[in-house]
Amino acid sequence: MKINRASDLSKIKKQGLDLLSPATTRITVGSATCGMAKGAGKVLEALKYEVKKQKIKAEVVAVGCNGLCYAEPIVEVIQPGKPRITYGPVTVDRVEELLKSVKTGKVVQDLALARHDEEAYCLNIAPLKYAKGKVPASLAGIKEYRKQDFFKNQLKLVSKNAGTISPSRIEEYIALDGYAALGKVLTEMKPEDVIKEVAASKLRGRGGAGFPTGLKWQACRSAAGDKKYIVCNGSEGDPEIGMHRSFLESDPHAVIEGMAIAGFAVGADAGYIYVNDRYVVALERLEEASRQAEQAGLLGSNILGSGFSFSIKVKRGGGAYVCGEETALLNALEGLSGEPRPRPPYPAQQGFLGKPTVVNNLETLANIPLIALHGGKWFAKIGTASSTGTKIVALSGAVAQPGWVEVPLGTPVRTIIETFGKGTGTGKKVKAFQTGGPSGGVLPASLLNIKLDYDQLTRAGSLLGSGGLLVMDEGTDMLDMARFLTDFFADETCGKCSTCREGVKRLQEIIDSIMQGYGTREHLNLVKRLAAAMADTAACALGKTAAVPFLSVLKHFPKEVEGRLLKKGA
Amino acid sequence: MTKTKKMAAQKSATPPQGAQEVAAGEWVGKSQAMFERMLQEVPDAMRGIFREKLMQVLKQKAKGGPAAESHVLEIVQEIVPEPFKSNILKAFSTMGDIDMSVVEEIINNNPGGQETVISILHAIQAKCGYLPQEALILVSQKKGVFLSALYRLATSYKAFRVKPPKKYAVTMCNGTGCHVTEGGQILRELEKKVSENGSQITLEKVRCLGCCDMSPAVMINGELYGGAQAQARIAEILHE
Repeated sequence: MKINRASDLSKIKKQGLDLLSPATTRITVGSATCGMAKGAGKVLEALKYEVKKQKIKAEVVAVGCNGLCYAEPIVEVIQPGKPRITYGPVTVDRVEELLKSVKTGKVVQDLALARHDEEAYCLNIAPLKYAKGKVPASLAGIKEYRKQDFFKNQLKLVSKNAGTISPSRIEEYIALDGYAALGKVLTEMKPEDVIKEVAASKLRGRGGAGFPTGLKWQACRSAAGDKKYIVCNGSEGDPEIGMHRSFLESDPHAVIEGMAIAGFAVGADAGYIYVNDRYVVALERLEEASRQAEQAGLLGSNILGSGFSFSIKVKRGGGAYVCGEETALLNALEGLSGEPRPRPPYPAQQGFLGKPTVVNNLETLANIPLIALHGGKWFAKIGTASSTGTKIVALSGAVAQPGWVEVPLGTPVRTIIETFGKGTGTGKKVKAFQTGGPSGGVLPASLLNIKLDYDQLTRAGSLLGSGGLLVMDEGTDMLDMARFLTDFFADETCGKCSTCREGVKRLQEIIDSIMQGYGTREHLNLVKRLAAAMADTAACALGKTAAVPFLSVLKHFPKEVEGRLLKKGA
Repeated sequence: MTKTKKMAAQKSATPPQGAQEVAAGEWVGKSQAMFERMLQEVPDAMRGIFREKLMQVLKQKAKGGPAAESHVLEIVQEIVPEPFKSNILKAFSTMGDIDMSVVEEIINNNPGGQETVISILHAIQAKCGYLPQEALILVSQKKGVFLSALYRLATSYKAFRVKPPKKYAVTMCNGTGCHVTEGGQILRELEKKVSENGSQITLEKVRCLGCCDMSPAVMINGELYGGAQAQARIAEILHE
């Protein structure tokens, strides 16, 4: 159905709500890559087959990931008037038992993870009620999700739909207030007002540098030129991070809506989504979502009769870490090799094909509909004074329960590791952690109380980055870790700036010689000079921060490095 | 793109009907790919000189007309010494494996200039498993992008490979999460196996497959395996 007016959205919303909490049974399977790799595809097939064979009145739907990656494959059952039950891990041999419980209305106790009486993630959204009346005794043993540590300490704003809606149905996205923000912006607001709201929200870029989004938009809006572009950075090249992939696979429409609003605000009529080359599922779902949005009239020409036109193309990247840097990403979009461009001119002045371009991280863009709908002031209240809103954090390395969570900024790192990760899982203590991907500093366990906040982390010598949190336990050799991270830069340097290309090689050699026992104090001084030169002269953050892992290990774990230096007189 | 170049590109879009229709200095059929393949046997440092010399010979053979496949073959037969000759002839015999009409269709489905090239390379690799030289030459001709620029893309981006993969295309995650969870050990074993003669494995190391929750993660012929599953599958391959 084509939507011509903002008021038409409510009809689709009704359809979507009927799908989300139907008169019959709805069974969902977490089918993001994390689930698929653990056999969700087979579970989905088995469920569909059995439902048909046993003539059960139920719909089996593939949804995204809700962050409980360690318990995949996850299956949820929604029956009219009953709480939604989350099961996991559900293997194919448990499918029969599960369906039996669906028919009899009982619960498979040992698989049940959580009970949802109602859905009330977002502050202003009216909850979607599942359970009517008193909870039956058979369900009393399963903890309500809001009483569980994993959900209680999260604030799901951006990822509110992930794992609940089907990524391939636009109706279900619209049901949970999707595209309402676009409707509001196009019918009630002026572009300047949108930028004002975004600036008031104090939203900062979620990709790495944390640049204020409002300022970026304003710069692009005031740049001269009739043709402008919005580019969504879905490169996510940092190792140990997979939450943006999960997010794209779970809720592609959120990014598309954010881009359309950005386009309206800065005066762009075309957008590109750059997706990491390995994220094939995310790519397909984004393409499908943008097609649906176009069919529904939410993309294309004259959207909702406002006269505003916006189209989106999804582009698969070539696979290079440096393409997460905005100018290198623009080169990749233009079909050139991924090398950063000198700045200025900034992309907001001269970006894609030389036109003013806003390059935003996908998570930044996914925040936009929320800000547009609920206002910048509302958003600025979440998080800390300088770091507003929430952040999706991927937990990996030595944790018992790897996965991703969304927490308000300002949450202590300790809470994330202990509440969501459930400790190291190896019986050993946490020795160190690293935020912000390979460019981030390695911080010791004594700093675990540090808050997830742009400025605090920068002051501690790390960065928030795109939200990775890697945990190392006491068995980890920190010098080996530094060498590993330096190898990463040696692999990924594009070779454009000689200080970066040659610098990381020399850095590797110096770390090697220390590891082999030939290192001297002179070497350590050399590293410091080298790091300063790289930070001063490299064109992009890759080169500027390539020495950070080693320097932070040297700073926080000096014994592990200095203990291996060549002894005097040896 | 200059006008003449554009015309030449359009001309090569339709299969040549007769040698006369193609202008002097043009290539017919796979002749350019064969010529380039021949030059690959020459050591890097001398390739430039050889290219110049052999091009002169080719022009003489073509007598001002287009260079045909037979002309390149003649050069190989007459000039090139063994064992290079047999290597080149062997390479020529497998060149026909690539269905160029598929490649042409891919190029036609992606109208536009340089910005479409990466999508085209992805599509070609999806069809052929790698980026064959003939295909790159065709893309270069049709899009007016230098072959060297395409080769740069094909080799600088991790997603592309310019040689056909062996039986098992193993993409091992070498991300931080997998490194701290036994990924390093698997990688060392794989590297040892790959270095053996007659190994059936093409090993690629990437920085993170994006599924750190199931580390160590590995992709084998496009299928993703994680944790114990990955270790079991790798063990299977290693002992084959």
